[in-house]
Amino acid sequence: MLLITCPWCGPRAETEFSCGGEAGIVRPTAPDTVSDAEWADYLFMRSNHRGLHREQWWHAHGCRRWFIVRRDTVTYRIDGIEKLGAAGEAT
Amino acid sequence: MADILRSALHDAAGGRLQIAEVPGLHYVNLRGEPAAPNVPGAVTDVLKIGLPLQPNTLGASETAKVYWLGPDEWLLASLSLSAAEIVSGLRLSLGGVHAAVTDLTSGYTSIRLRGAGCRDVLAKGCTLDLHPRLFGDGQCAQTLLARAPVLIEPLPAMDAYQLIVRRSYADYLWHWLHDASRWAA
Repeated sequence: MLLITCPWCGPRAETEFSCGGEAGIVRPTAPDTVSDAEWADYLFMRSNHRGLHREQWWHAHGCRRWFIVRRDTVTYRIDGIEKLGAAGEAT
Repeated sequence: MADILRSALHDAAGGRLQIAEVPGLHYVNLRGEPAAPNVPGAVTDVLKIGLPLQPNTLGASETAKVYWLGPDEWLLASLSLSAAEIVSGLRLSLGGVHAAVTDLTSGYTSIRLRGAGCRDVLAKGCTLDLHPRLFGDGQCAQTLLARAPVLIEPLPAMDAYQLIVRRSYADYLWHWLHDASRWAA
């Protein structure tokens, strides 16, 4: 089990969290004007990165905040934690 | 039913462990930006308690408690004031500030686990480090206990823990505690 350090609550067991997939996916600002391919890319396509990966986690059974975890997808080692907004993401 | 639970507990832990509901508490959820001066001010006005801003802590008076739930969310629990009094008092003090005050009294209840071995019982179903050095007086934590979401508050002076739980989970949690207590130290 991963021990994830919530930026507010501190280290907690993985069972308290829910993973929200790759971080930094930006919704097109004008959805009406993008092509189907661009929209599908935004909706479905993820990098499935091998190695260090930024992903969104939700402390579902704690403070119920979203934040970002930098995790190595090979070793599962957690490299860093960011609050949303710190790197320009919408809060 | 209650008799069966009491007698089995008595047999299991020699009568040293008690599980009891804490009745009569009124629960109100408050959401708002703590930086807005009216938000901490409203809680002080109504409950005479300073708003806890440190994660996993609570503020307390003789008759009420304010639990930190998130950076902009708190749970208020009171014995003396009704939820309607707290809600109307908070709304009055908050004025036009962007905040939400919600009466949760009918949705929550509290279970108190008291006596020797109560920490061991909780540890059977909880991943938190419950040692008093890390989790003591004035602290609280939202977590999972036997997969049920709970807010745990240690009460070291009473050798007890208070579990604030959604009422729909309370029956399950009561039975789980009862079962877990059979193997308590």
